[in-house]
Amino acid sequence: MTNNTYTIEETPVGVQPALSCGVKLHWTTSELVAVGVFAALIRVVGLAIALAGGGMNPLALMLRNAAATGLLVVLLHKSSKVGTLSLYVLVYGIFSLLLMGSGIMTLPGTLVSAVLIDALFAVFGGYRTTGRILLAVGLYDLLSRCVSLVVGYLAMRESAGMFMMAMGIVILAWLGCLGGLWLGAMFVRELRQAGVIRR
Amino acid sequence: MILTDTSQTLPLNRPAEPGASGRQLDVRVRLVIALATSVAVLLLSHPMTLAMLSLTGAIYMAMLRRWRVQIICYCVLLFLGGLSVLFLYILQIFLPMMRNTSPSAMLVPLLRMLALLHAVMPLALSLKLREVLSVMKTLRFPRALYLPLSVTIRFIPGLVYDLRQIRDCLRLRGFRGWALLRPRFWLLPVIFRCLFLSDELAVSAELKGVGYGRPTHLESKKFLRANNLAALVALLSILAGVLWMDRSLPQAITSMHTNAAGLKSGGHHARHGNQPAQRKTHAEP
Repeated sequence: MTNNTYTIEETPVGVQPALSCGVKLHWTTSELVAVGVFAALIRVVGLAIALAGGGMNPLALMLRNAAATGLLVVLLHKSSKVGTLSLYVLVYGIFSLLLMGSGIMTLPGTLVSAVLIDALFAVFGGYRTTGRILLAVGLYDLLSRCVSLVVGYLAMRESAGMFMMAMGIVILAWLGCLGGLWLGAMFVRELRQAGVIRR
Repeated sequence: MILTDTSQTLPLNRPAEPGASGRQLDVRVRLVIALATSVAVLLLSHPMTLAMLSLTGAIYMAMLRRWRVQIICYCVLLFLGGLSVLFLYILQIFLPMMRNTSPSAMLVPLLRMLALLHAVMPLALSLKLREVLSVMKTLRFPRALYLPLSVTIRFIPGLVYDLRQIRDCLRLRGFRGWALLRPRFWLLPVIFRCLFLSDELAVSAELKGVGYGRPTHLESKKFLRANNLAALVALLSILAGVLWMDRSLPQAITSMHTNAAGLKSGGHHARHGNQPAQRKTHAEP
């Protein structure tokens, strides 16, 4: 990579572009496409599991979150640059908004959680190893669930019973995420054996 | 071009009926309406004000003339409400602390969902991919955002094709019926295919110059037309009126502060603080 900075319009093919303010966009096209592909895959898999599980089924809820977390671990192995988590959350949120109109209330909270985790790991060396990626995804899931609980409290503050029910659902979802970390580690092991992931 | 307009293949993204006035609104205005409503429903807590917001939203959604979708949305919401009441009764059997909660307490959350539905569904129903890309370019979104978003929508038909290929492979290997539904036959092959597909799409995008040049195929729109400005002003007026009318808003903010202070000091303030009467009956049966 050269030391020159280019604007998006002037960037020659093969050189990573930069914004006109001089800040380099450090994702390659392949990584950006991977973020989009995994955002769509996670959304589609979540919808499929929800439909197969018949809606508000605790097992389907846990499976859905496990699959999402596992795929997120694979995505971070594919593109392990700091900021990928925030970008994924933003893309996933906008895509959910476009398709179903859902997630608009939780998007700011999850985005803040992802930015915080990215900033934390930027300070401590990034997502270099599988352990760091698992830790980052686990922390992100925990933090975003806490934010979801706060938003849930704001939305259901008139009925404590419904909030208790929402808290139970969030805890179930978080347990599913913990299972997803294990699932993601298994996926990565298989993909590494197949040579698809070389890290 | 990798950014083929696949919006016609997505059932929810079909354009509105011809002549529908809601379709003429700019996508940025619809985004602002959705965001403002989502903030308003968090702040409001009085059933009457929420009902007023929902009614305004119903008129806004009806401007699209997608009657069937609107009715389906109401049916789904009613079903979810019924399900919530059912779960409440089940919980009341096992949890004594919830026996003082009446089903009418679910009215406010349902009204919140209804108001949000009215604000967000027109946005989801009337968007086209080309319009979104055009807006993103107009708003000077970075490449890091509009490229994944475009790929996200373009990817779905490819995923369906890959799923069919995996199913056919399993059938060729002799698996039939329930054996086809084993998760291990689907999970890893799908991830493999997605990783390969993302590489193929990336190469295709780079070869076609996506992200490296100034695109000429995107239509450009003016920022705000007169009707968009009018819609924005009307929305802000409605929200201001609703916020002004909501008498429980100060109480809600006070109780939020009180509860936050109570959580910090071990719950003493939450029990003896200045809380609304309705909250007290629910929290302390």
